[in-house]
Amino acid sequence: MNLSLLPQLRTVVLLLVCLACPRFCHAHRLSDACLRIEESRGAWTGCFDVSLRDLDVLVPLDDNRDGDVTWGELRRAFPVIESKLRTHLRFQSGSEPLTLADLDLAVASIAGEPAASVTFQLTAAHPTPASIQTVSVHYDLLFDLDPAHRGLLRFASGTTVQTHVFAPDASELELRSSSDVTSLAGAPSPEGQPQQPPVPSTRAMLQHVREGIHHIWIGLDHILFLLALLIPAVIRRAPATGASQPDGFRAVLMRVVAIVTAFTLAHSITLVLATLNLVQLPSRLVETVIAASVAVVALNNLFPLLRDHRAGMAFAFGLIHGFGFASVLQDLQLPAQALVSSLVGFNLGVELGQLAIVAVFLPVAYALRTTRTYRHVVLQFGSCAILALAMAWLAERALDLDLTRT
Amino acid sequence: MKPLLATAFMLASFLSPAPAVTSPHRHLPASEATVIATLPRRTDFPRSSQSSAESAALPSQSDLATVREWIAQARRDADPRWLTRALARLDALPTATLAQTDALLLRAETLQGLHQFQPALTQLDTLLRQDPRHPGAWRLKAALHQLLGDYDTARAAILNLLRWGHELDAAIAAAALTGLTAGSVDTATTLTSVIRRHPQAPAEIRAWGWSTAGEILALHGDPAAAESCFRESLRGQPDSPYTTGALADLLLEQNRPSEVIELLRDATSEGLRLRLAEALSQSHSSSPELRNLVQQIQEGFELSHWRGDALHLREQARFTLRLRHQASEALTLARANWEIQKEPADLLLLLETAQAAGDSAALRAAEIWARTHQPATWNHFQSRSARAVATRPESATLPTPIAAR
Repeated sequence: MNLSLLPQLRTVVLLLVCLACPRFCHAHRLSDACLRIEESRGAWTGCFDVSLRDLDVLVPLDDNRDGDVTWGELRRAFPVIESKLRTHLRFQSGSEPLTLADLDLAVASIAGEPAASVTFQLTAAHPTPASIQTVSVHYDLLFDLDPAHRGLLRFASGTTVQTHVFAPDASELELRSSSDVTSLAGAPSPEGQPQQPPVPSTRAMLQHVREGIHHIWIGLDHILFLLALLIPAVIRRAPATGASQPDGFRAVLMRVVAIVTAFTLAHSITLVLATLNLVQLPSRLVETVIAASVAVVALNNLFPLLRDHRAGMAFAFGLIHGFGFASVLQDLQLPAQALVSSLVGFNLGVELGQLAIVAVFLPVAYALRTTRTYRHVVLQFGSCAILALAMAWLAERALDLDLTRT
Repeated sequence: MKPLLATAFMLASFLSPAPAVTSPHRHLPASEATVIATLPRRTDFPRSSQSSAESAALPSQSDLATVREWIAQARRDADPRWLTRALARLDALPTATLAQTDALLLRAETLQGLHQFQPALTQLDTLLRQDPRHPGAWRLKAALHQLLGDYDTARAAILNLLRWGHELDAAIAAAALTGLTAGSVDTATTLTSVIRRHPQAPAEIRAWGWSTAGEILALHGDPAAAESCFRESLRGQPDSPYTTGALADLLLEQNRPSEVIELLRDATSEGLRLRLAEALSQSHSSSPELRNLVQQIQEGFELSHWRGDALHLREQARFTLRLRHQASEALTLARANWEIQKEPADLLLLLETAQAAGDSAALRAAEIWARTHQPATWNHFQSRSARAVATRPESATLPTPIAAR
């Protein structure tokens, strides 16, 4: 378009100045509030987080209009917030309404945005002898002002976790305690939202066993660590000459058992400590040391320094491998009640996976242990290969490189 | 089972924390005076406006004024919640009010902001049948068709702006259409001279013009001139997240992370915090701030996915590629975004993710589209890739675009 041919400057009458730039840059998300509910032995507790930007539309928070909301301002608004909450977040057990009790205000954040966080308990006006098994929830906060608002529910009971999205056309949901698992089908979720089917506890446990097996099998570093320890374990070397003399099956088996047990014991300890948040290590450090452990063990096969201390090494490094296993469990974001069974299940899975590897390795290695192939190809070349791979991991993890992309 | 597991079981049952029902970041502020949030400046929510005598007399006009203010607020604050609230407010109006041109335009504007482009166009077409001269409607129509990649219809809309005498609007829209698809640096130069000839035009229009000129210059490889245009635009409209984001992108492309960190230090919105995270990552910072930021942005995308909205596919694709380094997932997101919008930023992201994922078929398809419809974007992508190859030898093994073979 040749702009020099445009008519002379004319007065632009703009009726709607706000429409000037026809572009938006969306940086915030649409409105959502997070509702967490947990049932434990018939006691129902909850936590409701709502962004202050949303809450401000319902209840003016910024008393002095200076643009800043202080903790004092939020606290002063709490009585109004509380009454809104009681109106728009309602619970019922059968035909009996449940009351929000022990409301406690704090602050939290939703995806980095400041939020008000209210914890509560559900109580019945006429406590029944049996604990509450079923609760129906009604949620319609903000829907009249913002139909795009959603209430994102996460419900945990025993080992089951259920999610739901409250929307203007899906404001009701029935929750059941997991001890009453006969009919767990929740209300149909709107717009095909993800709604995880609740998993009964034995199935959940089996799932974690599978996770554990899967983890040790896909975790090449754990397998190689174990193999690097086991490869020389079937050979006995005379300390003075370094020449190898075959041992009987019993002696070999005892050494293998000692190594596997030490490794198991060590990683179980740290798995428990890390999963319960008693000890935390940065994951990069853990991954780096795991890579280093594989390298050290492989190196020790080539230049034996700690020949008779393989079980000790298995224990020492096993401690750090446990932290690696724990990161998997943390990724699963389990509810507190599910922690114990998942811990047991996951560890059991890791052990089963490990035993399967040993069960395949031991007979073959035992049969071949006197051959030149085993001593030179498997032990020397195998350890070299493991060492090379471990060094690559070490570089990758320590320096945060991605070597697979080159 | 081993004794240890039994011990673990016991240990766990003793040490298991109280029900973890609360949110992970829940805490009590230090004192009453602790500032826990800064809310955007805005006119009061209609709780009070409804009580005024004027609004009782002319309820629909007052509603429209409120909606207009909310749309402006959505833009200033990059917060789409104001749009969904505005839409609810409009839906509650009587049919007769909704048929007014003002209401139709506001509705179109709101729908556009929520990425409902076709329904927005329907509103505009109804409006233009009533008032074929409406500048706001033609301006938005031009922008929407350009966004959808329908350049002929966009051009026709711009000609209508010109026909009814809105020179500056037409010049900006035309420059955006020409300069962001093909064109050259001259397109921006012509535009800046037209803006200078309209010193009395509203600040918002001029700011839109300057930022458009900046985008054209950035795309055509004149980053220094682009930067001064963006800064000029921000002088007229200091709180525009759109222009701030564009300037941050320009600085990031020039590997100037510390200036981006300075620019976005106090940004609250996710789109800008994404760029802040990129800057922190570019400056090789492995600070807790970066980790925290990445975690928060990730949480936001997870919540959006959970509730099922696709308003941030572009940002999510970018985040997945540049901060999580998951190229094939990023490509899937960039493709989904491409189905919705086709601006240079969307095309660049599609090309970038296809290249990073090593998906030569996807790269070729994007390249063919780019060379046909947005050669300027294609050229920009090529020169950027060439720079990347020069500074980072390992990327030489990435699939080569057709043109380079």
